[in-house]
Amino acid sequence: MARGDERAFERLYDVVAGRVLSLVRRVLRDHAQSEEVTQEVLVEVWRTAARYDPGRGSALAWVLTMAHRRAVDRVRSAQAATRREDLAARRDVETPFDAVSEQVAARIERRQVRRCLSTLTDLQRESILLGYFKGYTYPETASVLGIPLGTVKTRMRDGLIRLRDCLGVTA
Amino acid sequence: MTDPTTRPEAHTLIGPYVLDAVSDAERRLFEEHLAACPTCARETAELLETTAVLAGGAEVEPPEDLRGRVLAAVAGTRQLPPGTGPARGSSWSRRTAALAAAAGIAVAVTLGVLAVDTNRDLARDVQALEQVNERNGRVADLLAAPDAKLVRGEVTGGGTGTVVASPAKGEVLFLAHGLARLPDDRAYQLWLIGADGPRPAGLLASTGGGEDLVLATGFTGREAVGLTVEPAGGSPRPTTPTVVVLALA
Repeated sequence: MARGDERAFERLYDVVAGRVLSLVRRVLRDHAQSEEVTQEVLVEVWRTAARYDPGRGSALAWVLTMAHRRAVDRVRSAQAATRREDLAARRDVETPFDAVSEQVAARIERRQVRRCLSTLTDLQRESILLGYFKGYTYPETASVLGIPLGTVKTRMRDGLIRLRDCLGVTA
Repeated sequence: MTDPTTRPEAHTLIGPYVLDAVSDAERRLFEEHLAACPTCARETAELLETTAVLAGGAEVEPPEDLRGRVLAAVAGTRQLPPGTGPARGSSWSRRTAALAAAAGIAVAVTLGVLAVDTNRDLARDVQALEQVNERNGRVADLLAAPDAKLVRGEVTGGGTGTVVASPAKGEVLFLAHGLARLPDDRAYQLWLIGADGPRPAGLLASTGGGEDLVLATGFTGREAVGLTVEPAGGSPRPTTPTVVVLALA
């Protein structure tokens, strides 16, 4: 996208806006806020387009990474009060793995992703889903799952590595 | 004694960082670490491609007025120049970029979305995604087939070929990446190779370079998929040795 090329940006919008909105909604839930964050993300993509480094990965991943980060930032600041209650409720109650996992996993549309997620251990999957789709920090995730900090960090990484390998798998 | 929870070793944060499950302070700490640790930088890139998949290929139709608002906001926003950027740009080796690209492509093919050639700029990435969106319907159906299998191989002369095939649907998707450029009078031709020999299965639209797709029908599950270089327009039978053969059994 050359400097000042607004027509190229319009095409970019048509291609990625739906994906960005879908991801942001899955984290934020609130439709109005999701639209605001989607707008912020796309403006930021425009603003920093010249800084995109293809050596760091695909353009789609770059956009979605930016979208996810902004959605998480927003869910933590704008929904702080609700999240505190939610977090406290989760800490006080023995939440079965299945209940939490079903709620978030229901948002995973793609069969391939679902299948690969099912190859993870319960702890790996729970850590990743809580972190990614609820926007919990890793200490919050550790608290909800009742596991030590070191364990949640390791499970997140191990689960992601397994997902990476599964999604790239050959017949 | 230092409380380990207040001074985490930066590289143990890679999982949380990639999931955005870190505080802003920890994010800055980890990004500083990335600038000095090429191994972590490579793994981070691969895992970020993985989270992009976790985000899913799902789309939601944006409300019509959002487009206008975004374009208006963009019209009033100045773009940053290609910049100095974070120091980690300079610690990326060719191998790192190739691995990030490979991870991106592996992931993207699985979802039927073309990953982008790391040598292209954003404008061409948009074009690639637009082309994919047109074909996405058929490709997505193929990828969703319960018996869909994926095989990848190196192509003689450069690049990789990836096959996604479903005998039940009778369809094969061949994805070429980074093939050697051909002269204008030659073309890459796809073949389904069965007990009766090779049968023509389509031509790649481009003569090499970034990505290209062919979707072929008439697949019974018993054929291998091969690629040869033929005269432009194709041949009824291969006239040159295969540059790649991929078998799914």
